[in-house]
Amino acid sequence: MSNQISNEDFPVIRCIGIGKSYSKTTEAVRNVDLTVNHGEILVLLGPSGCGKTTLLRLIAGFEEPTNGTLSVGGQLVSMPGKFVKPENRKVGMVFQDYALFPHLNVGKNIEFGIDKSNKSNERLEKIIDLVGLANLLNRMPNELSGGEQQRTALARALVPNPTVMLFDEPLSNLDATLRIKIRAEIKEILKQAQATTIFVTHDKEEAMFLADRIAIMHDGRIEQVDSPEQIYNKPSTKFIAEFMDPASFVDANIADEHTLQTEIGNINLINPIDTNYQNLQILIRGNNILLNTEKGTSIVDSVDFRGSHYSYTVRLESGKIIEYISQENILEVSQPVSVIINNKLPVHIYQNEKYVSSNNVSSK
Amino acid sequence: MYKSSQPILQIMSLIVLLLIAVPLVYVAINLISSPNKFIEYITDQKTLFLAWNTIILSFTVTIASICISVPLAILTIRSNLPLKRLFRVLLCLPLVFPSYIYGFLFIILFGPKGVVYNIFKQIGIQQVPDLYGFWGAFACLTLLSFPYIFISVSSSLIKLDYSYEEVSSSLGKSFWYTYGKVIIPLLKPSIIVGAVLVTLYVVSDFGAVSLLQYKSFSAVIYNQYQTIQRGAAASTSSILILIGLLSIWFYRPDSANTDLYRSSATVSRNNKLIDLSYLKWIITFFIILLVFISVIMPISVLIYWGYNYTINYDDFFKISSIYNSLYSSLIGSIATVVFAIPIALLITKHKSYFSKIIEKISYIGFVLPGIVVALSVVYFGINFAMPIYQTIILLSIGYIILFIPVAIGIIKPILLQINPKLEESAKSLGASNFKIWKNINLPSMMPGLTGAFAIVFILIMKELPATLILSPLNFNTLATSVWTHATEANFGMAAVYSGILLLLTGLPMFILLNKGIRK
Repeated sequence: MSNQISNEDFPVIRCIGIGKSYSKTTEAVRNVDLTVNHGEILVLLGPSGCGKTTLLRLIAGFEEPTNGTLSVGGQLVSMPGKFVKPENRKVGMVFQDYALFPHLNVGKNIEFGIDKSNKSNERLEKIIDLVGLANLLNRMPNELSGGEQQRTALARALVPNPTVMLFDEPLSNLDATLRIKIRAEIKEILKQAQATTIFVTHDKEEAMFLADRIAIMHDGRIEQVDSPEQIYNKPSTKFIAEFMDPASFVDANIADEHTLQTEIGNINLINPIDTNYQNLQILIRGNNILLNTEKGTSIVDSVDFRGSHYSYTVRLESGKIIEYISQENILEVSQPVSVIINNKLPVHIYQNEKYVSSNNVSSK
Repeated sequence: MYKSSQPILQIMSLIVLLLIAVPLVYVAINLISSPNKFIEYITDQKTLFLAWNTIILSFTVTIASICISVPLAILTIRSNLPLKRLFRVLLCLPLVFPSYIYGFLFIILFGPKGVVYNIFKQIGIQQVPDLYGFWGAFACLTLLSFPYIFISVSSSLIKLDYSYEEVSSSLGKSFWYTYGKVIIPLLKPSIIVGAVLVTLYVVSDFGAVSLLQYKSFSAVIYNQYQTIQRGAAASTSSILILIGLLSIWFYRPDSANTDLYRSSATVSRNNKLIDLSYLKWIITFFIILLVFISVIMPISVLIYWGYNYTINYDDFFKISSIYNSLYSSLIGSIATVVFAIPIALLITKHKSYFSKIIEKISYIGFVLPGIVVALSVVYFGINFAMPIYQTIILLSIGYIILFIPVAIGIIKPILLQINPKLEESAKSLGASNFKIWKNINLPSMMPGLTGAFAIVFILIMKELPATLILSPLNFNTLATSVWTHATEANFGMAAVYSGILLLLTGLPMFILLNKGIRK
């Protein structure tokens, strides 16, 4: 893998203005710009039908973009008038249902991608060790468990030393326990192999676990590319905020440069805010607020036990519903409460449902 | 669970089995009564020659059919060929022709002084290869039977997920490598299923080989029978029955349906079709040529000769042949379906070693040539059932043996789909056995029964050798009329009967076929 060190200077994948439309009215992917760096795991996350799998297939070369340019490993593989076939792109693909060749045993599946002449190559043995399949090489795919099939598909894609590994929701067919175990295995293997990876999923937990960076796709567009923490904590749009976790937005007016007036009381900002802003909202998640049970105009709407915590929904005076989470089961349905902001956490400010800035709250 | 009805079913199945086993008894009696004669006969040079002829014909036709149909299936499903849906339908059309009709149309077209001969002569080519013998039979049967493989492979390929191709190409493999190492191996089971059908078709074919004067088993047995060489005919038949019996043990209709691969469950994506670029038009031309030779030319000749004949001599036509065809098909198909019911019930609802054997034996008709079944039934009639000899009853027994596997094959999957809970819940509501049968079992079996009836009806109407041998005296059906006139080279008259027969069987068969392909 020595030859890859020099590659670290430029992005392994570079999409510029990539679009794919099947007819004038259906655009699966719209004007996507995306770069993936060497050794990085980028997760394409979004609801079903958002175009994430299509984008992956465009990068693999299974479909041809309608516009834009695409380069893989520094080689221009797709632009108007030029199209490099998938077999010449050096991409490794792991499918949702693995697509192991059912007529070949595990060993034959894994070595499918290398030439006959160097069957005894070092990399092959290393990868087989890495995925722990050395004892199963003579098994047929239908004799493998879900996890073993997964690892076989992974090994098969890794063996030819691809420039980039592409995963199309490979865990969605597994049951919950196995999924968690295998995603850990996959991450371990990819990091050890220093593989540059694009991983498509609709599961946000999976995304946050695996990703170095997450790209959120919505309606054919990429809305935000950032680290998992940034995506969760500072979602750039209302859509992302709500997709990542239950979230609500509460309207805020600027009283002065240190004070926001909201339905849940005044919020005192430590850093000044530009007083020219209008139509502001603040993002409220279950841990952003505190409840005061003594008196109040808000009402507890529902109580849900979630194992590690309780999840409450609270109806504000205006009718808006927000979530509150707590370790304690102290509230009852229909109980009146008052809501105040949790000043231990920063507050995230939005304008017209787009992220503006974050600020710390003073306790005063 | 259902044990109450089991003994009745077993007894009914045994009775049916005795009928179906007539060919086996026939062989056994032949072997036991004069074993020396049999051994002498099968080691005879002439027999070996016949065996060689039959093997070489079925082998070459099967190979040629595979070579034609597998690429055609791939092209009409996975490529950007224009009109591929239409081609997929047209390429199945030869199946509607019975081989004896196709045979004589082939002679009109390609025979000495035939249509093609005259065209060639006009452009100055005198040397036209001789149609009679191997090459004629080979060409005729290949065009007639390649759709079996085409249909079988197509229906597999339609279900085959594109991800195998995509994985292979992402691993750096070319189109040819991918097809050679992945797709074709995955299609192998369906190729084999189709190839078995083609081989059986060729081995049991009687009409085309006889008309084209190729000496294979079926043609020769009929000759021996006609010339009252009963012993020789019996020995030749015995060989075929023994071969058929062996092949039953290898034929597993159930395993034929289990595909090796996972079929595409996910939403079909916009998968890349094979880009034929400039080859597209050359391939289109060859497919049109194939359709032209295999379907359009025979049909045109049929219409032309039939029409000409009708305006000139229509008073020779015997309308009774239509009645007779409909009558014998009706009786035969009802009998076949009724006899198939107990066996189908037994093998789906009471799985046991006994039912497995019954299932195997019921396939006999599938692997035996019609002529052999007919001879054994004649023997049975003459020796044990003289009162029904040369009656519609004996003819129906022949049909039952021949077509009961088809009927069982259609009824069985429908029975398997019926939820056993239905019957149990009816019982829990206190319904009597009779009521359960009348209100639940029979109605839910009905689609299977009518489907089986329709297909067996068509098959019987097209059937030739058993009808020829087992019919009552002076009982002319459409099939036997075509045959009689074709063998006397009275092609015009044969064309008239063929036209009617094709209208009655071809159209419904085509509709059923299309349903099958779409599924």
